[in-house]
Amino acid sequence: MRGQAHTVEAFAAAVLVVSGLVFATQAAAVTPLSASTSNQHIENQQQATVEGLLAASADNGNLTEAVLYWNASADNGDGAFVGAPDSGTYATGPPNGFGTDLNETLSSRQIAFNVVVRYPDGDSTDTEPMVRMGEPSDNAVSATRTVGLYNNSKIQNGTSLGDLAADKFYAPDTDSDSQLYAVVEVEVIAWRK
Amino acid sequence: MIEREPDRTVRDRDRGQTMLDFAVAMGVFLVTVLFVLAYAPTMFDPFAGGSGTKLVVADRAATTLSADVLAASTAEPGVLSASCLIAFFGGGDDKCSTGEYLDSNDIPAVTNRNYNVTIHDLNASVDTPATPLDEPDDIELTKSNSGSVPTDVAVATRTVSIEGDPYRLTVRVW
Repeated sequence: MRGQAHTVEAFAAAVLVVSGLVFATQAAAVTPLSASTSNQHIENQQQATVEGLLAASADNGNLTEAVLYWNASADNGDGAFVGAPDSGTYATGPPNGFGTDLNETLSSRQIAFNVVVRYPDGDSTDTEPMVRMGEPSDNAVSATRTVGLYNNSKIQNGTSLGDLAADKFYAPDTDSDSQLYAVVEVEVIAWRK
Repeated sequence: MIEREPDRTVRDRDRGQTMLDFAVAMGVFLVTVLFVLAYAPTMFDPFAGGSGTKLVVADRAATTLSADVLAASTAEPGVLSASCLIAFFGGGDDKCSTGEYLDSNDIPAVTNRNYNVTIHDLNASVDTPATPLDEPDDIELTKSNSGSVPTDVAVATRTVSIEGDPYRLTVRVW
């Protein structure tokens, strides 16, 4: 009659002990089981690294070049970044100085990144994705830098923004009376792969 | 007629595999308890690394160096001035463009600790300092206040711009 009563009891006790541990793990905000390969210090370093990269790229003009790296006749006349695949978005750093620096700074350290360009569109803002490597993790960091574009800023084939037809560039002219074309914001979102 | 067996034997048979059952039960229970005892301390491992204040010190030193001490202007953090780099890494008595001498081995935020500051190419290792300056072109951009081998190091990195090219600034504190 007594059969394996002790064994069953031991399994019940084991389940109780393990569920206590699981509960404690779930109750804590961050544990080794959280969906994260990161910690706060590493996030801070990534953020500072990306900010520095944007500062360096803005300093030597690579950032402006990347924002204007546009082929107005690609994608059946809708325009797309030069050399981008059919999706219109690069899967890795763009083929220009900014992209090279992104690859060397982030990809070489196993950090994935997305780059979007945010531009004013009427009363709101819209975004043009430049690089998309995937969905950022919960521990992604981001840094932004603004870039001013002028009517005489030239896209990759040498055409001035002011000479382009209205919808040939992703960002519209914010004020057709002034020399300023638009102020766009480049955002880099980075996370550990 | 078969004789009835003694009571004692009958009782033993009633109890089935009690001894075996008890041994298995204790085994299962002890293995679980030992696993939990061994696993629980590892939950705190990620928070134990880089003990104390070293991480903060390294981070603060990297920020101060890249955004202030070596920067051409505090308005443009990360864009470094060549004259300040020569003053800081050159070891001579050159002055930075801000008018300060930076040849001292004391750097901001780091006191009573060993440090190593190195500027290297983006995809190069920290052991190979860059030599980006044109004149004088033999200054290796690395500085340390200690010859000891780094152990249990806290690392902070920044991307900096020197004469238009991006480099990685790595501060190690131990």
